[in-house]
Amino acid sequence: MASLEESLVSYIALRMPAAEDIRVDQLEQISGGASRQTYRFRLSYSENGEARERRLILRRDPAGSLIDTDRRIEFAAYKAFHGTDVPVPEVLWLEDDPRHLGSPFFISVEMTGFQTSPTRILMEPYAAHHEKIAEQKWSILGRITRHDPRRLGLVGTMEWVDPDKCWKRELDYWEGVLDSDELIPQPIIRAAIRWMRRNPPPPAQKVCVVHGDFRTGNFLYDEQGRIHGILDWEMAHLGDPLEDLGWSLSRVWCWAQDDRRGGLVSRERAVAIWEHASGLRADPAALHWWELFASVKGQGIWVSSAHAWETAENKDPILILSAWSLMNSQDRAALELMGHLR
Amino acid sequence: MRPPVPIAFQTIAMDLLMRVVPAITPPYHQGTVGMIATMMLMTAEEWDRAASRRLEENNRLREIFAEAAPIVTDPALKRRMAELAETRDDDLRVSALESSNCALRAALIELHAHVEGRADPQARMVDDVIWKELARSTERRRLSTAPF
Repeated sequence: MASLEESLVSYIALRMPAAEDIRVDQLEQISGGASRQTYRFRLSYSENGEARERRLILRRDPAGSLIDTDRRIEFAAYKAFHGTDVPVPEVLWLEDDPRHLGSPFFISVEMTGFQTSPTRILMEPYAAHHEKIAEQKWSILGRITRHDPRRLGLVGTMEWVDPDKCWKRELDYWEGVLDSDELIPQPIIRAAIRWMRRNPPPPAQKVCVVHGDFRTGNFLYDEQGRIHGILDWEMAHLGDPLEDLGWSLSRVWCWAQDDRRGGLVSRERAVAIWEHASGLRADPAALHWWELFASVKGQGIWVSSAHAWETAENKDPILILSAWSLMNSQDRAALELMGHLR
Repeated sequence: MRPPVPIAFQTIAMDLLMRVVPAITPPYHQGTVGMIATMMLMTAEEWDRAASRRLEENNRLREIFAEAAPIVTDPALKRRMAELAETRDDDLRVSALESSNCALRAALIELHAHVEGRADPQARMVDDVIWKELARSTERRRLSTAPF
């Protein structure tokens, strides 16, 4: 049986017929969430007699996954935003055929030398740049909303949704995840869902690309506090721009155990940055609904990660850790938003 | 078990995090061992309280069902509330307490949905009691390492 390096060489040879002496080395698995197995490797080859080298990332589907995501959508989002004012890594090849590497995958260019950790960002030298990082983080999120998904060529790959249907489609989906995957009853999140159905938000101001997991931990940053790339577009879809804003503000990303959202700045400051960059208004009642939705979706993810670990082949400890560490925080976040945290 | 599980797990986990994890390569395996150490810290915190918090919660839910049963207007739910209020935990293993807890919390969801749409003072009072218990339930489960 061929090693992963050998399989990558065979595949890349198919994709780069002009390349010669293709070699893959320095292959190592890196942390990239539980929804994909992520590896970095060095590709060396020669072309027209000239030696070349590239650092690449392989994102391969595992046997069981934290989130049921469509790699085609993730790949399309990267491709659409590459070269725009929303920084993302360049993607190279998408492969649905599992014959090549054992399961579907895509390959992108590695952006090297940066951090993604949501806890390291709390320490020096990064802690000195929190305002600067926040300014970029929520400005990039605001800029995503300025991109017309039709011009990006994403309508079709991502299912269209009318502005007044955004909330219901998302809530129906994540309630369905809870229905199918919950291992223990969720009285707080179920109460939140009932309240949300009785008090729906207004229609979306516009239908935008929603990143789906926009938070500290999913962008590349450096020691000068610069953001170089937005990662993990695996839950991207079209929807209400307030969905991403609400998610980014969630209490469960307050890793400093204080009120700073994403460990960076106050909720008010984050919203102000986003409003300025997007040109949109974060209506307080509508944003409140979407922040509560973030708790429903978050609990859906933690519930399904626990379910996946117990029932599927994927025994990645991150599935347990996320469920153990975040389920109760997510409940508390929902209680706070509903005015019942005492 | 001596040394006590919480102390043993805390000590070993801190040793893993401070001494072993930095020495591990590649980074993916470093991350995996770090996660395991973090889960050991959580287990150390949960170990001692695991049975008592479930027993306390189960008994509190039974009290709520006993208080609420007279004002429940749905006959099947009313009967269920009364029946569950009379149950007790004879088996004190954590798995058995957890099983009871799941049954009781599932019933709590039904009771909550039943009273929250009603405007009468008795229903409002039960609704308030339920919210207080839900807040209390998150305090029982809270871990010191949690972000919120």
